[in-house]
Amino acid sequence: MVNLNKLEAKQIELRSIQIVRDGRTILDIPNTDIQLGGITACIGPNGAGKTTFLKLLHGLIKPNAGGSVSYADGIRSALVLHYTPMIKASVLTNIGLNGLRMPSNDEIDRVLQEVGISHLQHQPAHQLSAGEKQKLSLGRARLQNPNVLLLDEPTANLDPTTTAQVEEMIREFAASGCDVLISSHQLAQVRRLADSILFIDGGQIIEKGACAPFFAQPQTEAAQRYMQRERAAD
Amino acid sequence: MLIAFQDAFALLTQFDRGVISIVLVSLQVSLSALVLGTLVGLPLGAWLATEQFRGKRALIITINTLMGVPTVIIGVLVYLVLSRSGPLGELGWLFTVKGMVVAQFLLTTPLVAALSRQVLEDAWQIHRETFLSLHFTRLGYMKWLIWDCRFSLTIAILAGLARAISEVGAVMIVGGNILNSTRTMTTAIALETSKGDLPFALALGIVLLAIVLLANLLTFAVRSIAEKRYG
Repeated sequence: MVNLNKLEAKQIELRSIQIVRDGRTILDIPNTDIQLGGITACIGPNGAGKTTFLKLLHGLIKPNAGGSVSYADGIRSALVLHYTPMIKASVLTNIGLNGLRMPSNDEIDRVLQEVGISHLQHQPAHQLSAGEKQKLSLGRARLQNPNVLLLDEPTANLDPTTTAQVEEMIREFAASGCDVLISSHQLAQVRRLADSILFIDGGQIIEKGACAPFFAQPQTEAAQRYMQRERAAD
Repeated sequence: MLIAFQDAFALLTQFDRGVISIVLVSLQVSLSALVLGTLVGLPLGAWLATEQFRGKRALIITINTLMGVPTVIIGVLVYLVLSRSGPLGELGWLFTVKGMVVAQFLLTTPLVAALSRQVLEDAWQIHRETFLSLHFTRLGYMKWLIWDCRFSLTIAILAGLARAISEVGAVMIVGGNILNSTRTMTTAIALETSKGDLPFALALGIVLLAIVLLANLLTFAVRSIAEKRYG
């Protein structure tokens, strides 16, 4: 991966991406540029390649030979995975895990307050509820000081109250100037949060654009079918 | 036999100097070897658990084999290396505590490495993506992986202690079983039994069992407290 000065701020350039696992093509993106801004929702059916796409953008998955992911200078991404196991230690230790720099105690205290789990700081982190773990993960992401936040299904399996709290945190991230790319199955949530949409199906980016027009009238047949299925399911 | 046991307990309750000296040498050798074996074995286990490289499977099989290698084989090899004509003969470590520590280090390291690899490999499957997404370096994630498994790893370290303190072949060959110098509990038990001094051998045997039992109790207590606190 190469940083290119010529790219616009928050622009990600994907070239000849093909991720194949066990003979199955997970991602196949010949050539596209993604302009991040505000909250972007990455939607698509199960197995479409959304999670792999987020991992690719974060550098967790390397592109194939000949493929490249190029970032505008200064992009610092943080990734919160759908399933984030905690190490057998306190919330305080887990939220401070950071491979780039050791956050100060004041920073950790502030973030614990912000995500609303300061009262749990001495509790074993792996015994937290799913919602508390998600808040911890978001706090940990905040301590990485990213300007791009990648969230994989951040409210899956959460109750409505916790979902609302997590959504509020996502809005706060965006309001603070950190662009957010979120994968989600919940179209109602996408409508509430997202400014723009990336529709992925069969490992390909099929459609991208502003949120409202997409919901009003998807341009591609695949997106139209997906929206119909999801609406019927709702 | 009852008299032998009575005499053995008498030696222990009187804090017999001969017994204490031998126990101290044993502890010095085995604990030193265990500390060194843990310092090398744990990172080695973590490295094997987290890295993919050509020949990894062969290396794991080799370490697993070394885990069960007869102690006398290690004793002979260390003897050859440390003997006057050997490559490290100039050190003058043959028939010294240092030489015995080297021999027991070679016994404990593969054991700690092999057992810890198994524990850490499972944990790595769980935490891999999280650690990498947090931009940890190799040393960073190995450190946190070991920390995550610290309670389970006590078993690997305990096994290392048991291997070191109970072995007789290597320390006999490398140490020479010299009184007040390199005589350990196991070599003394072998010697005193062959001489017919059963009370002395029994007294040492009781201490040896007590040490292993104490180590087990400590491990059990640590794990129990940890499980209550961290699940």
